[in-house]
Amino acid sequence: MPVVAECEQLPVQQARRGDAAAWDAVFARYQLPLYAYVHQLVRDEQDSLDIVQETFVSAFRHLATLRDDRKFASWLFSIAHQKSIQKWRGRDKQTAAFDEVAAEPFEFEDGPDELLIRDEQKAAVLALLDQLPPPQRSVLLLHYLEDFPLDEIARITDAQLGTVKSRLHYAKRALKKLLEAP
Amino acid sequence: MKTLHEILLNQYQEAKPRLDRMHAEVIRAEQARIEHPAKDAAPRSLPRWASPLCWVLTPWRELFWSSRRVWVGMAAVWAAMILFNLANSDSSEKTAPRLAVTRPAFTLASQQQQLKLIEQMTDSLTADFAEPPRSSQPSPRSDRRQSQRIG
Repeated sequence: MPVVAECEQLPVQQARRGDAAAWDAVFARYQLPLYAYVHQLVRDEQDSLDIVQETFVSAFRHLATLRDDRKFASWLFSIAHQKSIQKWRGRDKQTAAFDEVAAEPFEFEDGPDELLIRDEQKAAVLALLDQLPPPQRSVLLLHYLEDFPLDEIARITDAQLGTVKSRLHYAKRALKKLLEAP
Repeated sequence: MKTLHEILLNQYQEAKPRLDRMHAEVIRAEQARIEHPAKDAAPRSLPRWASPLCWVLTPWRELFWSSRRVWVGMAAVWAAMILFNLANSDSSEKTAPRLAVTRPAFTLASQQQQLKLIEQMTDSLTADFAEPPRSSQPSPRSDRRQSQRIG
């Protein structure tokens, strides 16, 4: 799994100066995780490609507004997240589904929790992702795709830290239940 | 055994060539935009406020549309007032013939009063021009002496 420190090795500083090779390296690194994340939210191939393209254009034009280069990945994902929400809401008009699910008291366990999935479980896991409400799906994807810390996930999804913990807890619980089933 | 990360990325590997082309196109287009900024700037030759439509739409939006309910309410009140006035003016026209009937008698009486007034005024004027009555008081003594000496 990639770690956040990896983005420090990316040539973000050179990209700020408009270096095409630097942008190529940055985009090549994030295009697939971004596309996977966006596609899991909007569920449409062409829309996902459009959103990733718009995210890259926006990043190219507004990189000067990013203060901390180490936050580049979460900044890029936050742009994609916002664009996905806009597209999703504009198309489905089901904004309520993006609201918070009913919270129950829980003990959040934040730690290394790599889930190993057998090949025969793969389809079931992907089906489960489809069934999860978009807010939980979004948090789970950000957690497992890029291993973002919780505070950065909160920033990307524009949610409270407690809300993110709650969403991740329910998503993980559902996933574990599925994987532990015989 | 695979992780969720691997499963997700493997699922979307087919999109990689399209993503490669797309990001290369974005870089090329954005660099061209930076090198030739005039292309983007050309359509914005006039400032927004310079268009005549803006001069009409802005007051419409800010003065009327923002408080349209108040304006409609005021218009309704004005319409009610106009209708009320029209209804009243109709009733005054109905009473007008009655006044017209009484008018000749009224003018005749006023003319008679005027004639009487003129007569009284002429009487008083002729009285003013009449000879004043002689005073019964005697003339001063000095006047009398002179008249005696001459005599």
